[in-house]
Amino acid sequence: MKSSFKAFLLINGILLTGTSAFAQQLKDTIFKRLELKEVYIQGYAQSKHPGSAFYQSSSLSSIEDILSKIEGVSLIRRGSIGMEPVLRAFSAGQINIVIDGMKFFGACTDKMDPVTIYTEPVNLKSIDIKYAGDGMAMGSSIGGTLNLKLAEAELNADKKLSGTVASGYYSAAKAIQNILALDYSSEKWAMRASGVYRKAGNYRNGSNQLVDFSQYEKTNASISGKYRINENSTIKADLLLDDGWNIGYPALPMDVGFARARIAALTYKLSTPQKFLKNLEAKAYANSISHAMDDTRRPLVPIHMDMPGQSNTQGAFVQTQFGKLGRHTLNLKLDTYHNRVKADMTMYPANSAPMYMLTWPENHQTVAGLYLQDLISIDDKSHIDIKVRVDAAFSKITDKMGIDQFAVLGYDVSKSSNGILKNINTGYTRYLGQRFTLYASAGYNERLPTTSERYGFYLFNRMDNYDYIGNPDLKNERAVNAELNLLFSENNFSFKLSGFSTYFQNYIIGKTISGLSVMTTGASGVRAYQNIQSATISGAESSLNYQFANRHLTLNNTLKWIYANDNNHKPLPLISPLKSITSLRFVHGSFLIQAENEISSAQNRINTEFGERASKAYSIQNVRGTYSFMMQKYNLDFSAGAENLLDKAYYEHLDWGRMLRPGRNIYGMLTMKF
Amino acid sequence: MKKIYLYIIAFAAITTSSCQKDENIEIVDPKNSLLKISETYAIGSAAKVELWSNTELSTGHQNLFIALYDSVTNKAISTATVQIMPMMDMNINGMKMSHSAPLESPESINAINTLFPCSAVFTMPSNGTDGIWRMKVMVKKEGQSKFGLAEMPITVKQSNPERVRNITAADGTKLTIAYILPSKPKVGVNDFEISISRKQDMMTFPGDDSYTIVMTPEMPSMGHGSPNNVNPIHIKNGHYKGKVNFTMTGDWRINLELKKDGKTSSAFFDILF
Repeated sequence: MKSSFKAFLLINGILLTGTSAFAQQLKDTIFKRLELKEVYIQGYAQSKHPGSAFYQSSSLSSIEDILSKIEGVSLIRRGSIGMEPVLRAFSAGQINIVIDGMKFFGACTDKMDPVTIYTEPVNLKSIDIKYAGDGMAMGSSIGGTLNLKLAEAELNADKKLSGTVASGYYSAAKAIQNILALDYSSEKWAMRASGVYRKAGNYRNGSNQLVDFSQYEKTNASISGKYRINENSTIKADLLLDDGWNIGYPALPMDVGFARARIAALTYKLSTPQKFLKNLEAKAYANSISHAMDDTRRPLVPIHMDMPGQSNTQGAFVQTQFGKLGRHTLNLKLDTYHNRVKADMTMYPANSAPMYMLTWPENHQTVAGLYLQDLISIDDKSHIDIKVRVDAAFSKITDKMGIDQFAVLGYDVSKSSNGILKNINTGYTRYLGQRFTLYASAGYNERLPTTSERYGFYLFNRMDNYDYIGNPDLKNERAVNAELNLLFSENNFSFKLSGFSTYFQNYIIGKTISGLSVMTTGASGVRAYQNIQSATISGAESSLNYQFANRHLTLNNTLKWIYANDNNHKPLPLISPLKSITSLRFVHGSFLIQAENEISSAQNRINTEFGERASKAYSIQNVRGTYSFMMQKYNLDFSAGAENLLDKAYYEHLDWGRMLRPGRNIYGMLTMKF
Repeated sequence: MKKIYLYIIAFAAITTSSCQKDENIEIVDPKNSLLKISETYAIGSAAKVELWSNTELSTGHQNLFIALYDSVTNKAISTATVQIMPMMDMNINGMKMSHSAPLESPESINAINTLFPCSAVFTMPSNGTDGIWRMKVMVKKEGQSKFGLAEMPITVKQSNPERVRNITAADGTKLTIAYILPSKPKVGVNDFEISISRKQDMMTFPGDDSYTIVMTPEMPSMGHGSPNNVNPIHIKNGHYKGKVNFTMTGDWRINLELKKDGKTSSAFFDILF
């Protein structure tokens, strides 16, 4: 760990020494563009980030497609959809995935339903990614925050009625994707409605084999309305219904019968830029998730099981932004939520009675938090950003059976478990002349153990073939984060280099418990979550964007690398190897063509204890083209392309079971806007 | 404001009424939760004898309760010496024989809440005219010098799953192992109790305290067990108590190993909930 940390300091050091000559007045706000890793969704807003267009390759891209192209994001893949986002090397309970600031908890004990599965890009305005404790406004988090910002209806738009219809076909899974979005706008009120239908069959992989149980089907419908109360304030209502069914997970022993989300939110916004209270936003929301795993389609199931799960969350927050007070600009946020999760399992053995147990006893968690941000301008070249957050968390198991189950393991979980989470983050920004910006941040963050980590009851993990039991006595995981970013920007060229390091205390990881017998037939043993003394994660990322040849050509490149160890200097599991995506885009008039190359090194730093195996290096190529034209008053886009052009048989390191990814995938789509 | 007063009044009414309830504790007849099995007169002691139990009689350990009434005044008798003796009369291809079963007569001459608690382990079910169970109850009231005898026919059903095992131990001893607790198994930690009786002769089955027991629960349809069980150890009168843990509902099998002098005998009980 130490050596890698030094290495990254060295890299940054070299780059820094060259920059001290620049000490000119700051003119550009390029720093802001690059610092905020906010990917705007096409068709909604013009991207401010030079790389945004490269993240979303088409209007039919899924959220997972977009995330996979962002340099700090990886995906744990168990099937065609429902991939689990990893921010740098943090995942699951270490990161905070919210929808428009709303807390959201999946209902699947096996992590088959990350929050990202319940939204579609057409629902969204942007995806906002903040690493480590930088996004603590949305909740305590040690690894980062992914905020899926919902698209809003626009008041007073140029057109009273506008819309988009897109339809596409993808060859590898014989998939169809359809999107419809309608916007109505007037001075007083506005509405936006959207619908998505996706259906995919089993995909063909790069070895020309059909991958069984990789199909899925889903619909998504959303409606959002906004009403202007007066000159300064608006009220907004959102309703989102997402339904997936028959979702295959080829890397797991079972699929998903259905995954349903219902989201409702009411938001009030006040904007008085001339007053001291510049902005105020208040939101109340509720969401409900139902999820059911399904093994009825699988051959050779030893015992058929029903595994449904439920998650309900209600919450509210108020956030305010104040005007300048001397050198200080203050933001304040108060938030609270209540989440209830429950999951159970009924097994139906061939010749005896059904067996029933709770895999997640009914767990109620209530968290209330206070967040304060102070932006202190030191001079016109630098400022300091201080963020503090304190959460009070209460968690209680409310069903008797769940309490009794844990009594078997020797735990008394009849009392509620309460705690305080403390977070602090300090950022220092310095403009080193017109072109260079330095951004350094450091912080201390804490997170609660997840329901699985605390109260999971014999949850089988296919990856290491162990049954996992929760540990109600787990301590909060703590992390000290440090990050250094260097940004360079000129008219046609921008470059960002980031180095980061995290030192964990009480890192939560599964450890084998001898003397416990397995519940899942064929499992290797039982593991329980424990706090290990320490762990470290370090890494670096870069992104580059260069426009040349009279801006006809754009080159975009992203690179990520991570190195992670536990307290015994053994590699942590599920760490992505070095990966780089390079795209070259040619634009001429209404014609666009883009070539992409994705390259990943082998990963040999693996944790065999967790069933990890080394993965091979790979490189794949994609080509895409778009032609835009007008037909009467309609704006049409025809796009076509081929992903994995050379039909390579490959998998990424985070793909469970080393399932091969789709082979050559030729697609075509038509988008019509009016 | 008026509403608040209403709430206060309503709250006061609720709290006072609940207090009143607490004051009038009714004396509940313990037989309300029991089932009368049979009744007859104990000839020679001028007493009516009622036999009660928690459930219909079936093979295995059965809690029994004797209620006594003066046959003249019909008043409940609360002090008496009571002994029980279940008898099985068998007819095996014309050969007649009788035997008793493991039993525990009331420990005290004083009734507990009008009842004399006792128990028996029925080792086999009634079988038409070829296997007839009867219960002998010997009663000696205060001041009496001789026992009066009541005899009543009873029907013992086959329990399912079986709650009693008659085994021949590794050293040749004939043992009756009866499952007692949990009577209502639940997911979680359950009190576990069995009784072990040794066959001394056809009429005598004393409790045996000489075994070390290893208990292993398992789910036969899945092949897994449960953690942190506590092996039963001898308490008294051949009763052994421990803790059995169930992690889910369904079919469970409790395997028992009875160890003595380096020899092991085994038995199991199946339960379903």
